[in-house]
Amino acid sequence: MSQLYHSIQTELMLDALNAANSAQAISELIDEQRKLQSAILQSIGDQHERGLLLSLLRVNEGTLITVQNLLFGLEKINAHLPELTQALRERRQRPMPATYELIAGELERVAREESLQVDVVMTPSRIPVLGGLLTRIKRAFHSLVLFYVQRLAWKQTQINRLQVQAILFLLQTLAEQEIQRSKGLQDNQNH
Amino acid sequence: MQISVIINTIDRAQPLLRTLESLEQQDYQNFEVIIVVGPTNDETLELLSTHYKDRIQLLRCPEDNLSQSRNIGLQAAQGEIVAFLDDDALPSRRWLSIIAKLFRHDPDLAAVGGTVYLCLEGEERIQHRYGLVSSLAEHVDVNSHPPIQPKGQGLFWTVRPMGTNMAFRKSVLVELGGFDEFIRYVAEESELALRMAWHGYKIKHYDPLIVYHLPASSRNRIVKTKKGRWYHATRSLVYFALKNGKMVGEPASRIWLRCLHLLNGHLKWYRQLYRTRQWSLIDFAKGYKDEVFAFIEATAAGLFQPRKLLTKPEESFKTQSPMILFKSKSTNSQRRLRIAIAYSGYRPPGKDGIGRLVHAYMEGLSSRGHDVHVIARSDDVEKVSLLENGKIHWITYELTRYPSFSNLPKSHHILNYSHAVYTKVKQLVESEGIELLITPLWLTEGLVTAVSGIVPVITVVETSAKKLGLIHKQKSQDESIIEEMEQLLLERANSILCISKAAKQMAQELYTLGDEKIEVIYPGISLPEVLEQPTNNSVSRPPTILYVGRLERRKGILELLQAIPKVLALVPEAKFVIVGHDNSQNDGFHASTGLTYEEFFSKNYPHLAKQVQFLGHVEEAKLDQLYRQCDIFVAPSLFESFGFVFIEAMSRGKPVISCAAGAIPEVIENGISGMLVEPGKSEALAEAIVELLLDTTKRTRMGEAAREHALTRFTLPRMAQELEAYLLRLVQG
Repeated sequence: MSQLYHSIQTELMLDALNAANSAQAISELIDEQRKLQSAILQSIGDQHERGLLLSLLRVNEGTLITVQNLLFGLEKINAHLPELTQALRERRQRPMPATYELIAGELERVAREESLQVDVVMTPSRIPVLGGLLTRIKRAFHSLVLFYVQRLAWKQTQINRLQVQAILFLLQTLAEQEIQRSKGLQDNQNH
Repeated sequence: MQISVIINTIDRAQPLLRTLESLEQQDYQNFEVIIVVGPTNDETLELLSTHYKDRIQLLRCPEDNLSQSRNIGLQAAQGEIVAFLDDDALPSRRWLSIIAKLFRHDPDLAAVGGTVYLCLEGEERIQHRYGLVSSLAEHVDVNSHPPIQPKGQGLFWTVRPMGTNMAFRKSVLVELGGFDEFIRYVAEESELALRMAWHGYKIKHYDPLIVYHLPASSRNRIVKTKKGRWYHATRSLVYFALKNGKMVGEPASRIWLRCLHLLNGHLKWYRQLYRTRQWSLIDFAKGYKDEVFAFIEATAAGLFQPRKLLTKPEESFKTQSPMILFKSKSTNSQRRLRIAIAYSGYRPPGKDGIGRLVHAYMEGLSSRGHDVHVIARSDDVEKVSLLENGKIHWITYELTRYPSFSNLPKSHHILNYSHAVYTKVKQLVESEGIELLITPLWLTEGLVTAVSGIVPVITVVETSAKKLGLIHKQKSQDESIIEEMEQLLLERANSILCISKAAKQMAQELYTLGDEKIEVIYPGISLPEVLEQPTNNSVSRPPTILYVGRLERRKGILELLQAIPKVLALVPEAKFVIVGHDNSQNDGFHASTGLTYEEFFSKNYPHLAKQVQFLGHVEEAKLDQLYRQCDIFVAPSLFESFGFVFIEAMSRGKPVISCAAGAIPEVIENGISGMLVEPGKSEALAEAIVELLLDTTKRTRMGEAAREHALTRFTLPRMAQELEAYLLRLVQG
């Protein structure tokens, strides 16, 4: 009975880990772990085996506590998310510091223009009459190869653009903080 | 939080009325309904003023343009939130409650979309779960979880709600100018979503926000055909890509490539339709012309015209008159229960005993006005079927959980399926407000839900794996775990519903249960009200004995097959009809003899083979005919916790012969409505059959008494009434 019941409870807890109440689920897992620990202490006689199992459980508990700490960190970030979202929303509506505009403008330009395009560079054949035909055949063959190269290049460009977007977002957040900081300093000076 | 529900409609009066009826069932009260009717030709306006006068805001849209119609609704909306619903869609019961909760809890949320189930009969599937759209109008619908990475070329992607299931914070919609009215149909919602996301607003998908979609034919498409105004798609998407591609900084070459790709895709499709004779030459030519014109129009507008957005200041959206709250007209104050029933093998109207029981519960409870949701196992994909009596939620499952049971195949499957049931119940609690789960003990599908405690669970004792193990004298390690599951389910269930006193006794003996949480309610079925009188033809034909049930040891098939030669020795003209699939592979019979039951009979009594027909499984209509045509019904089960087949035969005025075992004496009164013999005795069984075959008067008398008994004790309304009272007691604590 107990193995069946515990299996269901464990799966339910794993479910909860995917859901919003992860912090609570981890607390429950830690509690469960401790119950298991005391059960092992009582039921396993061999000291060596018991020692090994307890060490394993300690490692598990350590992992769980680490995850719990990470979750707390995430919660803190979550708490600041509305401000960040608001800042992003206002990005196109409010003037930002000149340095921000400069860097952001440059990055956006690069993002727009940067495209790993690989073109066919071919010297036209000098063979009379058949030269044109040969060049065409060569071009068609190269285009086929390039088709696949372009696809890879396009993916790389996408990744680069995502990176640029992330940097832009961070820049904009930094700029926001900079504005706040200067306001704070100004207020302090006024007082 | 006030919500405005906007429904845009043209020429769909009947589906619209059904949608409005479903809105009357919402558990959220603080909302208005705005219906914007386009240039209609049907009775929409008359029906609305007859049935919904003073309960809705009725507006007109002069053009056949969905975006314009949506904007008209938006301008009249008084709620903080505007929710859009199609005129052929039915929202889940808590649709508005969920929308209110999401917007209340997250002040940054600007828009939300949810899951849409396509419920057209024969085409059921998930129509929309997690949708994405790019700045090049690339649409990716992810019907699975977790969402996949979009494969497309657009620079900017966002979550895309589906038009029939979306809600917005009104202030954001107003700020962005609402829907772009150049887009008459197709992608107007994703265009808006993209603009929203680009301006930094938060859009979210929420799975339990559910709408059931029953697409109706319209001017734009005729359902289940290829007839439609498909050029709308090209017109909208080309415009979309030109406007939004430019907005997010897509390279011009990519935008144009995408636009040409859109046009080319449609033209190719038309060629295919013509080649496969789905389109005539005229359709084809017209389609081509419309496509090219739409492309030119969209290109011109995309390049040279400004967006057609609402430009009025926000103040002009505010009206002085109070909001007309949408109220249900129903005066019925009866408590309406929301019940889930889980049985994986349910296939309406129920193939086996438990399936029939589930069907009876569904029919009975819905006839009393309660909402019934059956959870059954799908053979292909997750989907929902809408029936008159309720909804069937078809679920799938994977063997990804409970790894410690992976060496026990049956238990591993049962546990994983039970977990899938739990996941569905959890979703239904949120989307439909489910209050109870009814689930048979057999297969313990409600086990994980019972352990989780998310809703009260009632387990129905009909049959049990432990009892079968005893009868079939088989027990593996896998079966021991299944017995353990039964024990755990009975312990964790809030109540145990037994379908007979015998079932109760069985459960108590096998699992040492007290009386406190056990209830006995006999099942009931829809009985034929009028019986056909036997014709002269039926009098002159040979007397027929009918058997219905699985061909397995517990059903007493072996005793019947052994009794047949004895009967035919005395009544040589008699005929036997055996209905039901062979289960000799699972009850140990095939393992010990190497034969199926039919093969066993043919081998041992080859000279009688002509007088015994083995029909296997038959359809409902055929079964009804067989019941009506037989003279005696026989089912000598060694144990039955109830036995639907008895009341089916009795209700058709047939005398029944069975065994004095399990719940059978509770159904058949020995010597009055039928005859009961000692279980496992083929000699006694043969004697009873011969006695009734030879005595026509007794047969007729018993048949009449049987029908009378069935019509008074085992009717659907009686069962529904008792079940309702029991469930209400449980819910009200």
